[in-house]
Amino acid sequence: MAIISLHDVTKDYPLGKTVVHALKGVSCEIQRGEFITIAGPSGSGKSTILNMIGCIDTPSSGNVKINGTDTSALSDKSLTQLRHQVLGFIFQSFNLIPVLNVYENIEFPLLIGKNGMHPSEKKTWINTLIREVGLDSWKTHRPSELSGGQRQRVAIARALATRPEIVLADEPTANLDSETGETIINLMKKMNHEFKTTFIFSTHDNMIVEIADHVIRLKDGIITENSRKKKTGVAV
Amino acid sequence: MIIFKIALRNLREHTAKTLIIGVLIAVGVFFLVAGNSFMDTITAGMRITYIDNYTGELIVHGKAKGTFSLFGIMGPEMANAKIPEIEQFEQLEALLASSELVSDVNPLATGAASIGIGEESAGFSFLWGIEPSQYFTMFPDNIILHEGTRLPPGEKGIMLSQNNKDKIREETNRTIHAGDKLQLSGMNAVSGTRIREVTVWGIFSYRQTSPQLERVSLVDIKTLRELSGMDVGEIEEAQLSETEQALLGEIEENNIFGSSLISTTSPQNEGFTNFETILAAEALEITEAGKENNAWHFLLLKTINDRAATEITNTLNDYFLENDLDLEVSNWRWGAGFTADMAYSLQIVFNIIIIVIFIVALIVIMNTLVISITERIPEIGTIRAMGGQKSFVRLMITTETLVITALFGTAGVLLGSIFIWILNMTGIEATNMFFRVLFGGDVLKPGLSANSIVSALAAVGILGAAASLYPVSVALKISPVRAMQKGI
Ligand SMILES: Nc1ncnc2c1ncn2[C@@H]1O[C@H](COP(=O)(O)OP(=O)(O)OP(=O)(O)O)[C@@H](O)[C@H]1O
Ligand SMILES: [Mg+2]
Repeated sequence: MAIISLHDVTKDYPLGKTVVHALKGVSCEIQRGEFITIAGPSGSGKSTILNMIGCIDTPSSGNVKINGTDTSALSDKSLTQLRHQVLGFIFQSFNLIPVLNVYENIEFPLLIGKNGMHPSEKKTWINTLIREVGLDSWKTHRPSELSGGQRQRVAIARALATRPEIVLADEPTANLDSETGETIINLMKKMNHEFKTTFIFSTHDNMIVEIADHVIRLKDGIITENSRKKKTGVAV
Repeated sequence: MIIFKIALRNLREHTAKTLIIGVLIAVGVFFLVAGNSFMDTITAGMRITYIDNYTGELIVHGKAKGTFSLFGIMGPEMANAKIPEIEQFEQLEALLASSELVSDVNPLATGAASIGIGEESAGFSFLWGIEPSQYFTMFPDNIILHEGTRLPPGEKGIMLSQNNKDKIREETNRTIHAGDKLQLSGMNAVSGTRIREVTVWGIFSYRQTSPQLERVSLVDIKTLRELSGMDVGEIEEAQLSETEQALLGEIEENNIFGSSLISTTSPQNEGFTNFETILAAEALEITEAGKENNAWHFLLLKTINDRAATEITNTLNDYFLENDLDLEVSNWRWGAGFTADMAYSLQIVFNIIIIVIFIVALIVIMNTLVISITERIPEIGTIRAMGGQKSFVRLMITTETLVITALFGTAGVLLGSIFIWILNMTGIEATNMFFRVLFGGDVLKPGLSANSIVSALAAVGILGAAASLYPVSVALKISPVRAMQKGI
């Protein structure tokens, strides 16, 4: 079963007296453990589609299923719980809590909801994540003391803290120079490999698209390409 | 835990915001603690002073149109109004004396007279008509006797207040001593002018006084009744004036139809007694007449405790209603007249100021919080996106408000306490009459009252909660999709 499936999803935004059709009927499936990019020019609907998958916004019509569950039927509370348990987020502008240091920021998702982790297990896990993203010597620093690339590393570790099945990243490299951006995507790919987490990220940088093993290309709210690289899966 | 950490760090990080809110809270609490302690000291002092020395806990009295107190009628009605006498006094006194909740009962009547020495006019005095045996039982230690003795039970005469004595000396250059005689002349709507010669038994001051109180001298109740026309039931032939004669005549005519109600053993308390009866009474024993005439204005009560006072008030009100009596029960504050009113008005003014500060603080704090939440929209959106429930967001915002409130509230309490402690050490000097009345003396040493601290903390707690209501609702409306907004 696909971990995520979208069926004929549309999204309309009211804009003054007119309506913007950001998504015009999008259907696709994403398999567990994939490393996918949603590519397309600005305004093509990348963020909109990620918001639907991330359950932080609702489609105007159609449905989004996560692990087979239709999210449109869920209450705000259940959706929040679903996000906490199943999803991790990486944001374009990092969105770290400014008053918390690196360690605390990564720990934070574990503190805002229930999780079965033992305190010592939690500590080991967070330290593992910090090591994985290469921030061992920065644990007690605040986000304001870090470079953009370092902040996005913190964000990657944080997104993985609750051991989610899916991590969503909306243009994670947009605020970084291209070299740093590439390292970040590679780091994400490493994590995808190590923890078997499904990663979905959007970008309009074709260099970065290359790294993904499944590309969904959007234009004007419509999917124009949906292809898997031969080595990882079957072409759709 | 994490919530506290975030709250504390956010407060430290946003110094300007924290200071705006914090200083407002601290200043508010400071004023509440210091002001209320000051007020409480005044009222507690006044309360004890009055209850213990002049008014008792409760005062039973008749109803009248004008405002009156133990000091008589105040205001424009003064000239022609009359303080009502207590109906069915004996039954009432007996009822109260038998109650276990009442520890003391003491009747009182109020009046005023001009003082004369020989031909000379020597000023004016307020008078309280008392039954010495009862009065000095209820208030055993409220006066300092400068010379002479207290008014003995059953005797006629006056105990002159030191202030009256001083006024007389100013007017006439004469110094009054115990044993001297004075002429008191009372004027009233019932019997016109009455003049009585009285012996000065003693000169005294009240232990705790006010400008109002120090002008009151104590006379035996019979003399007071005569001076103020409450004695229409009594006669002293030799001193009957033409007006009195005429009046008695009228009363006799008016009461013919009611004569069957009147007997020598139980005369009616209104003072309207059949002339025949009066003559008969006179033939008996004149001193007995004092007991027969039970015209009093007030019945002062001391109760065993505050709760008993409430209970007695209720019981009495029911009793008055059942027996169709035109009476009411007031507390000591009523009896204390304008002195207590003044303290009370001051308290009201103080409370209004506090309410204004409260509202201003509420608006400022609310706005500051809303602004800070607007600044943190992406942060809150992120927390929601990461799976933080609304309840978590609510807790986070309220904790921040509560932490700041508790922190600066405590600071305010400390400042207020220190301020009151300093005032307690130095004492506040009464620079004018107004403060002298209020302080019940020349210096006030305010004490920190627990009540002021509790109420200040309660007020600031409510303030914090109220001020965060709207900001919290704004925060809860932030959708997780706002995490995508550029910002952090
Ligand atoms: N909240 C909104 N209100 C109105 N229109 C919106 C809103 N969000 C997105 N849109 C519109 O929907 C369309 C798709 O927007 P979306 O943000 O998904 O594009 P994108 O591919 O992420 O673009 P970019 O690369 O600039 O981030 C655009 O035309 C955009 O203007
Ligand atoms: Mg976008």
